[in-house]
Amino acid sequence: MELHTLGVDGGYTQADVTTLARMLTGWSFDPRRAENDDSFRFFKRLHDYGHKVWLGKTVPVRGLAEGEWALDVLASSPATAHHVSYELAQYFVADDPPPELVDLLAQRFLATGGDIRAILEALFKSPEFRTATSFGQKFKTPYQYVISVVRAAGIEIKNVRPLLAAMNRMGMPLYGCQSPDGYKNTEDVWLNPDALAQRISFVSGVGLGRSPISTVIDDALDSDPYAGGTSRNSAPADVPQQPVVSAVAPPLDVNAILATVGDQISAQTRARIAALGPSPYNAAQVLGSPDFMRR
Amino acid sequence: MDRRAFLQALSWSGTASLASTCNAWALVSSSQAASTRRLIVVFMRGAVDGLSLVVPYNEANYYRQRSTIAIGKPGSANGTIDLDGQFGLHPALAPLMPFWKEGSLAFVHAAGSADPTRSHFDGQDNIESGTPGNKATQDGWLNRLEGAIPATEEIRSAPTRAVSIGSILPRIFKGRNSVATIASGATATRPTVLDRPSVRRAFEAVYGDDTRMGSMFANYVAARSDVIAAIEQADPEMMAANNGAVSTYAFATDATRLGAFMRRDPRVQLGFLAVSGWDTHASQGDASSGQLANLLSPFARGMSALARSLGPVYADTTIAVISEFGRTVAQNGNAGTDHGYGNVMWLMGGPVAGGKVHGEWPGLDDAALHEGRDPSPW
Repeated sequence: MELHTLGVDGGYTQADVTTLARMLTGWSFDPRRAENDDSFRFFKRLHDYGHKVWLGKTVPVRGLAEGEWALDVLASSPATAHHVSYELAQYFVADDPPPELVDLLAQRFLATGGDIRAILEALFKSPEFRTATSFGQKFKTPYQYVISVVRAAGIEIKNVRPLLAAMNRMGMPLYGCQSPDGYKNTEDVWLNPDALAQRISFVSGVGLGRSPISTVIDDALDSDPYAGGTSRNSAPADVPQQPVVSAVAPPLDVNAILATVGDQISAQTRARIAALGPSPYNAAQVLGSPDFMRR
Repeated sequence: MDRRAFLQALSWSGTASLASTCNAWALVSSSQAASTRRLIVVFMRGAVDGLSLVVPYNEANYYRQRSTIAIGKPGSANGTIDLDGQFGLHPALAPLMPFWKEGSLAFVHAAGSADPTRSHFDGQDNIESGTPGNKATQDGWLNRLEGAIPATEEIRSAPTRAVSIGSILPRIFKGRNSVATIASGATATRPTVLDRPSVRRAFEAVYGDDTRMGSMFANYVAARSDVIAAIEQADPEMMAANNGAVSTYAFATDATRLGAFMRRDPRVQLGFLAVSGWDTHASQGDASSGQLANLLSPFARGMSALARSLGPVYADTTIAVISEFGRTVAQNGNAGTDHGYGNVMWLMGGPVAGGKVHGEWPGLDDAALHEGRDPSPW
């Protein structure tokens, strides 16, 4: 209720939280069928059939259907519509999204029964989406930054370890979020002096061709002894002891990158880089510039 | 200070509690005089066995339940060092006795989080977010504190107002306020790409007048230069004190650098260090050997080095030593202890009412224990 539907100010109480938990008692799964779609199980014996009042309504006692009804109530609540719309507007438009836009999206949410495609269509067609004060002004998360660097540079990814390590250093380990609502996407969480230096350090290594992203690391050799069709019982004699490492990549071509990213890099930034003259760091200057930190 | 007040102090800066908690810490405002106080938090990650650190040596149950790993009574061979007739210090912590005697070292026993999790992950998360049980908190309480302590404009804008040891920012320091990092041990002085003047200039050119990121970039450059200058000053002193060697134990090196940094720069007000390895499920050992004694001995030297490197600033500094939770009273089948609840916290520094074990001691009788196994904090 707090993180994924009604939102923290969604008008529920702590008693509603515990009652919802009681409505969900008996919901379980069969671990032996965990990889199938039909692993869900409802155990009547474990369901709390007592009297319940939830969000001001008396809950009809009906076992499994109580939880399903709760999901319907939550999904169609105006508070949920507002909460989900706010999150979408925050992700796509601004850290502090315009309330009129959020209201508009919430109306679409309620009118379409929560059709995210319809809500996003309204969002992308809204004037707020394209205004100069918001367009291209969101500060990238570490994940977005790292991925956008390798994509803009057209680097073929054969080894994700440098990218994972960079995300770790920037404080956003992949699939490592500590809170159940996922990583935030706002500038106040990610922009600080040290994080900026980490980004510049990462992009300098990539720009100079020193980051082995395109280097094949054959870690199957040490992680899976049966990979590659080798015999279960005898290791081939010629397996190298060290991972196979090819040459480090050539430095990135600044002009190719500028052509790729187009007007994401302002004329002012281009002029500043040009004024300093050619240097091996030109590509890193582009991909490490404030312009490229935003999306 | 009782342990509830201490825990409130740890969490006071949470946005939710700021409005509702009426204690002395929450009453500071920017209109008040700038604070010259400093706070260093030392996190013993892994849940240290507080019952071996500050030993309740009058408790019969302590000796009954720990047949091979109890620390002996004062006066016995390798016995605990008596503190107050009720508690005794682990002999490996002897280097800290001068601080106890001068009244700047205190302990709060049977303290703990409001959330009784036995998971290291959740326990550390609770301690660092400062909002036990609320997993939605994104920032850490030290970062919130940085934004809340009154300061002059000069100090507020300092790039190194908060310093964290280790190159990855810990949960406790995550948030909107700037925190400088010093990599641990030998890696601290390893050059970074921005240490090269030509590279720095290349990026200064593109960051020049970006309103927000330009100042962030300048802030990083200034912090890095302050950090390097502090280390360059601290290391020769440390080497002189250690017969020409930087300490072989990274914690002592890091602690000395942090202390020296705070001493030379009054704008550095918050510091954080973490030491791991306290999860002694097996071969915990006794007073003189085993996992715990082996770790405590260099830890005590590091804590002592931290206090001494602060020099005159120690008088204005509070050092809090915390761990995510305590350990079981009973030893297990592997001569170790398992995850518990209440634990001892340390407070050290000039402002501390030291020479005293604070808090209500619930005792270790079976009936007093949390779930029949751990010292109970509540």
